[in-house]
Amino acid sequence: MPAIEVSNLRKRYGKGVLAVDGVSFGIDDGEIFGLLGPNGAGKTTIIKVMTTLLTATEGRVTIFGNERPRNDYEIRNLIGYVPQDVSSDAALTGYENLLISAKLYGRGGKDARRVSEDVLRQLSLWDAKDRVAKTYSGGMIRKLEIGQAMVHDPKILFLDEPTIGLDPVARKQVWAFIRELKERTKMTVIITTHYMEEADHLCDRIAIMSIGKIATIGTPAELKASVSQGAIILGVKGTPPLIPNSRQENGSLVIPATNPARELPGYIDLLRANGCEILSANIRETTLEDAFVKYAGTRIEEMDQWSSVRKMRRVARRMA
Amino acid sequence: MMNIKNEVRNVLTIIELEARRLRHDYTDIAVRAIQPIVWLLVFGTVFSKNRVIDTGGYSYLSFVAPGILAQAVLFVAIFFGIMLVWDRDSGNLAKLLVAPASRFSLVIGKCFSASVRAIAQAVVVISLILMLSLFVTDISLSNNPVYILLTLPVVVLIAAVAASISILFATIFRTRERVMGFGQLLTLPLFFTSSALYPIEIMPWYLQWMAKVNPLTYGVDLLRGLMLTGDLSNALLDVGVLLGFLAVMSLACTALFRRMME
Repeated sequence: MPAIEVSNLRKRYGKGVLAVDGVSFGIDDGEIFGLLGPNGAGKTTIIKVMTTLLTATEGRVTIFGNERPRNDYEIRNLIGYVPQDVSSDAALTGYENLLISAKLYGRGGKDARRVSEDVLRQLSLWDAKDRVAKTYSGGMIRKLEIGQAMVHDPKILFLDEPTIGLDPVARKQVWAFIRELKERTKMTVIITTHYMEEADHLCDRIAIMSIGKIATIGTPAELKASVSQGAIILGVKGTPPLIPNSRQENGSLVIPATNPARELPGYIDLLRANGCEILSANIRETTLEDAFVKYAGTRIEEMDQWSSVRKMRRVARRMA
Repeated sequence: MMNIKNEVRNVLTIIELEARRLRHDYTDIAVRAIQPIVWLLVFGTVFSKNRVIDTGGYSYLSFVAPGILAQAVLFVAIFFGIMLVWDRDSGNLAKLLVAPASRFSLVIGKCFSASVRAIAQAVVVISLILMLSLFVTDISLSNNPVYILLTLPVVVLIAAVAASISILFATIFRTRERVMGFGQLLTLPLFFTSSALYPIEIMPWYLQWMAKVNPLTYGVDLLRGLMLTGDLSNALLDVGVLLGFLAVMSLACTALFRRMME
């Protein structure tokens, strides 16, 4: 059974904007699925609909066969959700945060204490368990939040921008933690992000969103292959032989290539055999960003709105 | 499917959350204890000395003490909706809403979370009033410890009712500034049209009418009966009105609660 099926989902806020405009996709049990898109593309809205926080204007959403909104109660028992904004209670200790979450998911007093302690050990937060969460670093808070979302062993974990506002070191730690968690529990993970590197690094499959619609879905490799912006850039002295699709750019020879690193030696040999001298050699790999630009139709920075920038900085400040 | 036992546990867990928050930071309670004492010692003393208001056989200071307690409780709870908006703006509320708990138990849990703060506040204020009554001859309150202890469940009820009003504002207005504004707008009318500062009988007829639909009047009546007069003949009516008001408000909050996430 697929973990999630979404068909023709539409969500309109009040009488205003259509945030999600007819989206359909399925997510298999056990995969890490990424929703990638610029701010305002509708990623968070889709997550909120799947996690029972919002009701769809139109369309059908099922989680392991449970239909929204009829089976919301069953769905809530199956999912864990870590919102984009800091959701741990800053005034409570790490242990207390976990304890309250465990109780909210129906665990009794003794059981709740045991689960909280287990999770603290798994998160390597045991030494900090009696410190209030506001003294935690950004990475520690994210781990605590993920732990809180997992006290009931959910089958699906939703992470909305899991590394927003984190420094590069903390970001790598959170990535490693998510992957380790996924290996151990075999659960399905759904991530929204607007960091290309994050999506490339973590996700089995990615849906690229653009203004309320899904532009394309595929594995990171498939998406990159579908754009193929890779190239070999050579500084050459002498007259090169005719190479199909090659061009001169700023005094360099540019040769499009699907796999530039592997094709480079062949071209060097060819040029040398034709009496050319190689002055410099560079390669340009296709990145997920190239795929993003093609499908979302814009570079991510250009889409940033003032409100979302402010929000992101606020999160960053609170987590610092 | 959901069941009663789970829902009761959810309510208790949300109350526990507030109690733990309070345990880590209670400066708020200490600072807020100053205002009721100012009311009592400055406002109360002036009115008492001049015998402006006919308060039956009791000194004005004794008459107003339960009213001041009610006010302290009202002020703690009437801005509780702002905390809910704050919880929404951080991810705290989302975390509660994805848990398998009904919206109704969330609302009830949040109403009685205000009661947790109110009880802490009331214990401080009552202690201060009792201490003052040892030194100030104009304050003489009930010396029945059972009655004094019984004020605490009344405080719980008044706080929950005030919080339910505030939460309703939060679900309707949804921003901190507006909930704050409407809280301010409502606090003084609620306070002044209740029997906190003067007996209902001396008000003009239209204010008497407002006092009768003001839930705080019934709370003050209970507190005054317990702390001062010992007259509890209206207790059932008072408790009934407060509970009824809480039920209606919390159902309205439940119906509107999903607006918080839109």
